[in-house]
Amino acid sequence: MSVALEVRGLTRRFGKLVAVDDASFEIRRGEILGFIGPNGAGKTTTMRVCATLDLPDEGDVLIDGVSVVLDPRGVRRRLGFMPDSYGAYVHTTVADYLDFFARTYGLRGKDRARMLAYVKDFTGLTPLEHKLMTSLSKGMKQRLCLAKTLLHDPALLILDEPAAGLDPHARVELRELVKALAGLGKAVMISSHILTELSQICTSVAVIEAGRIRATGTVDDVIRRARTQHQRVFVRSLAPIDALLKLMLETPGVETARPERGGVVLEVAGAEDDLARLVRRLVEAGMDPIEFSPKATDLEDVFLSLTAGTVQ
Amino acid sequence: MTLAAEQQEQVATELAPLAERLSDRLNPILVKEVRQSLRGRYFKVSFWVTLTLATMIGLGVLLVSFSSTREGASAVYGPQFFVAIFACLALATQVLVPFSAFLSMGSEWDENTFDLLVLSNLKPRQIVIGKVQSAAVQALLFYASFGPFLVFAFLLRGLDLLAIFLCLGISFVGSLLLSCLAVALSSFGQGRFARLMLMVLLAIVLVQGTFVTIAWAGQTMMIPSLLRDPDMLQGLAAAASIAAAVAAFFFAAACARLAHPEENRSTGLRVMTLVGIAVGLAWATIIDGWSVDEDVVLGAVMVGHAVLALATLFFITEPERLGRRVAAKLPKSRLVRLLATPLLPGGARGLVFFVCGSLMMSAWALGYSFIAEGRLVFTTGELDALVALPLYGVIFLGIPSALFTKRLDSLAVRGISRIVIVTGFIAAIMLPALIGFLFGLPNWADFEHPLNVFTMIHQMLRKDGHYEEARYFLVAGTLICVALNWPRLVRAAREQLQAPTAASSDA
Repeated sequence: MSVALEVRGLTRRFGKLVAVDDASFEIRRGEILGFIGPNGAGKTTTMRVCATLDLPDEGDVLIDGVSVVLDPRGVRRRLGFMPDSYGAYVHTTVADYLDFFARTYGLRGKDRARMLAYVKDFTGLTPLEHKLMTSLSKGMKQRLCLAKTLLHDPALLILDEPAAGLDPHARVELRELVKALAGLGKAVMISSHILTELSQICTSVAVIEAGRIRATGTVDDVIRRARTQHQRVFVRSLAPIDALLKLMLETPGVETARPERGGVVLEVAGAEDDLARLVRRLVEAGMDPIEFSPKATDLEDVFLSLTAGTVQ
Repeated sequence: MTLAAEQQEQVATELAPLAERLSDRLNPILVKEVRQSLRGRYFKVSFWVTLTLATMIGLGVLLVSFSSTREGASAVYGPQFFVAIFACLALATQVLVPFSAFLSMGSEWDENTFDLLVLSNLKPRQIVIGKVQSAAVQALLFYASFGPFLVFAFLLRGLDLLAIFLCLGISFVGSLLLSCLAVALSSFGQGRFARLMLMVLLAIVLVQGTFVTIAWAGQTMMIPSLLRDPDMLQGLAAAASIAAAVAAFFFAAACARLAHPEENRSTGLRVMTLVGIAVGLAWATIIDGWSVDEDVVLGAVMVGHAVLALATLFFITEPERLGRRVAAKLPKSRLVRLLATPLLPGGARGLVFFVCGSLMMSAWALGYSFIAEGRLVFTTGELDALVALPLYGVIFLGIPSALFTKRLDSLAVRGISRIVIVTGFIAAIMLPALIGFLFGLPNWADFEHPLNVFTMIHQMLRKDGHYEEARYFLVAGTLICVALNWPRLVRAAREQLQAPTAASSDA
């Protein structure tokens, strides 16, 4: 699959603040990349640069090989951006709104009519086309904005917090739409705070904190890499819990230990070799372990392990 | 359904594809704005209120006119009725319509929709044209609805058809010019407070402009022979072309404001400033009748320098660097890059722009003298003034701006530097006068000191007073200015010459 978006050494400063610091990652066609990070991490700045609404101080972003610095208009033809907050035109119906943007993208006559019918059908807006857009619910407005971003059939979609403020039903619908778009071969970059939501649709992730990319790759890769750096383990033994706790806290590599459900939950820095050493130490210390189960790592664990919630 | 209704529907169905094809050619902003206006309240209310007001005022004027027993009163029924109706029309097209354009542009910031327009790939130029076209359509709707009143006024007699068309044409051009101004002002006020201030300023300009149009129309209707006066026609043509240049400047200003800060926001405005000055000089030549009146020539040069200095105040305080997008679009030829210096963005290049603009005006004055009279008609004092004007400009703009050159990337510093330049200019006139007053220097106390450009130029032209002192000040000031600005000028030239082209950046 060809690369739809390539971020190369992107740096964006606002005065002394480095909002994005030498960020690099890429998205291929058909891929859904979850762009995750705490508030103020630089997600929206990165997305605005990718969407040509802002310019990098250093580095570049290529959309289908076209530079956001050198050819912003060329980029806009290849990209659909759904910002986290966008306005509604007063006295404008759903149909008029979409018709206006279709005209701005240069769609004429039958091509425009065909595309409008397609996006309205795809996003389920056909029954609402004569409603004023100011009277739409939040979920419907999100659909409308998504429909607008699809009008010129972009190769890459950048969705900034599209699920924010949506009820569970609307979230599921949006998730299905995003999956369908990836199925059509479009690359999708999506930021969200709802990590469970992202983990269900993303094929890859990029984790950003304080402007720096902390991890990037497929979801499985990132989780595997996180597992080699950090593990959570539940241990139960026949020995008293206090003794088990004391031993574990004295063991090198164990970061935290807390009692839970008749055992101890450990946060261990290191890979699977380090877990094997831990088991050996339990046995050698005569703790009689009866359960030693590493917890499955998910996207939320990865996020929490990689970020400290630093806000710039 | 009746047969007539069926036929109507059939015609509408047949015309729909044609209308659709025609609308494909229109600016998308125009289509959107017209749809919004027709659904919104602002246009509907202002439309019906204006029509009602025009009807009532028209009837009132007719009642008063018909009740007059004065001899020959019937001859002025038409002009009186026309002026009353025209006043309503001018208020609608020159106040309400531009105001609507101002609100429309402002709503893009308020409703947070401007980013969507940028993403839609519309160029700033298309956005501004769309807004102005929408204002023009609204104005045309007003003209159409006032048609019956105007025909009625003509039938009352006493009206010159040329005068009617001229009045309507001038009010339409005025409406377009004021709409351009409204969109430009609105694009400057992205914050609510700033826009409120600009709205007050706009309201003052709109009302003033409209009253001038109404007063002119009244005079023309009452004395139609004025339109046969060649001087009047020449004045109208001059006013129209200068208005067009001003409108083009506002248009360029609005486009520059809507463009991304990294885009080239300066070249269009620099070109429009020079075009505006050139139009003014051309009219000075025509009005002078190719007989070189020194007062007209030097007056035009002085006004030209005032306009140039005002525009340069903004250009000279621009961030120094070109920006990555602008640098990538520079021509490949190094010579062309250097020749383009005065028109490219950047503070140092702003100083070069001022010098080039001044040279353009001096060249016009001298060239006009040689071509029209075959010799140099200016006295030595007048030639001194022609040299002194640009030097004063260079000193008062160049020295203070050089102090801020490294921090012009900051919007706040840019604002401060402009305030410093203006206050520095005023202080340069006031402070020596105060010093002269305190230390018993009578000439200085009377504002006859070398830093006062107005007195010095006046004395140079009259060849009296103490203007010789000004020469020392101008030489010293220019040398200091060049010394202070040399590093930024060299940096600017180096940046232009070393900037990678788009092709090499890609590589």
